[in-house]
Amino acid sequence: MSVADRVGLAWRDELAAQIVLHLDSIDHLEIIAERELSASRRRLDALRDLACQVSISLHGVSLGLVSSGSVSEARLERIARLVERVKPDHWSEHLSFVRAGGFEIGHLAAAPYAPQTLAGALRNLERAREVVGAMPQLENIATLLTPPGSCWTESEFISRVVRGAGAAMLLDLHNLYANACNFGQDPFAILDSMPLERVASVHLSGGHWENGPDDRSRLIDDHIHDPPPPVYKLLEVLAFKAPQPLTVIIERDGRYPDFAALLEQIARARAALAIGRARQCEITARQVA
Amino acid sequence: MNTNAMEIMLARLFASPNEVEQFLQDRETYARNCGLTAAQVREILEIDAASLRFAARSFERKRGSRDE
Repeated sequence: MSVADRVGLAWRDELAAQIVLHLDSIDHLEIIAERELSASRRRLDALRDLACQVSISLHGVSLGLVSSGSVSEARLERIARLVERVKPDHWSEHLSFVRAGGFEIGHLAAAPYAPQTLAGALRNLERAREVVGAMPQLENIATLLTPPGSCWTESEFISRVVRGAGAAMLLDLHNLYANACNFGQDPFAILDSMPLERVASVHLSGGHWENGPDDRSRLIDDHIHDPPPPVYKLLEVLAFKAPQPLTVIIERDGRYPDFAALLEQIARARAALAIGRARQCEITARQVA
Repeated sequence: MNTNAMEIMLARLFASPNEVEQFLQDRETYARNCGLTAAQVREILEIDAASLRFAARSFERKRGSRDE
């Protein structure tokens, strides 16, 4: 693992005491922005103090930037105030929409992979950069449907948004793996088709298999299970193919295991990074020789 | 900027499994009532009903778990 790579956890209040006790094993913490928008001054001061001890990112889940419609200025301004107050290393959002025409989905959904969505996304992202003061890192989402009206594949669309906006990417390897499984594709081929030179951060999480109304089993990204082995394998390959420093974040939203198990997952992620980096060094050394 | 009619219709479907059932009863009429163009209506006729039901149910569960 390169000295510049970082491995950490998504902050959850349920884990707070253990996180603080084990900061020597945690390089980075990711905090859900929306949970802090109404935080007390005392809590924001505590987050600011935490940001002085460990690298922190703020992770947005409700802006809906990747949409043909306009992002809410009021929502952007609230995020901007939080970023100004906490002073994170960076902030991130999703490659998704969450509302349209007055209908609130209440979660992350994929809009059509099409020129009108791309144009809207690029306008929204530029506005986000202006208001917040920095471009968010952009995360791929899990989706059970290819949005109708799409003229590109998911990775073609993501590449156009990320490169067009000049943004960095937060690559969620479990979302990638779940989409590959659910659409019958090879996750390593999907990984190859992503804009890997733009990846700055990585999410690792888990999910469960569930039968649908057609009796077909689908993998649901739920953040309440451990990352499965293929996700670590994808991280190894990513560390081999993307030479830039990576910040890897393990996400867990419930059914918390003993903290020792989360530390073990951090160690496993470090090991996967180390394998990929060693392979990269080996190839570089052979090329030089 | 105007939001794409297809995106609005998807939001409407993902926001409610009941809307999905109404849509699946008569896709073409539902889509036309949502203002989709003829080309968009053709696209929406292709959507896999089981995946759409599964997605709407999954969104509903995620909304429920968030409200707990």
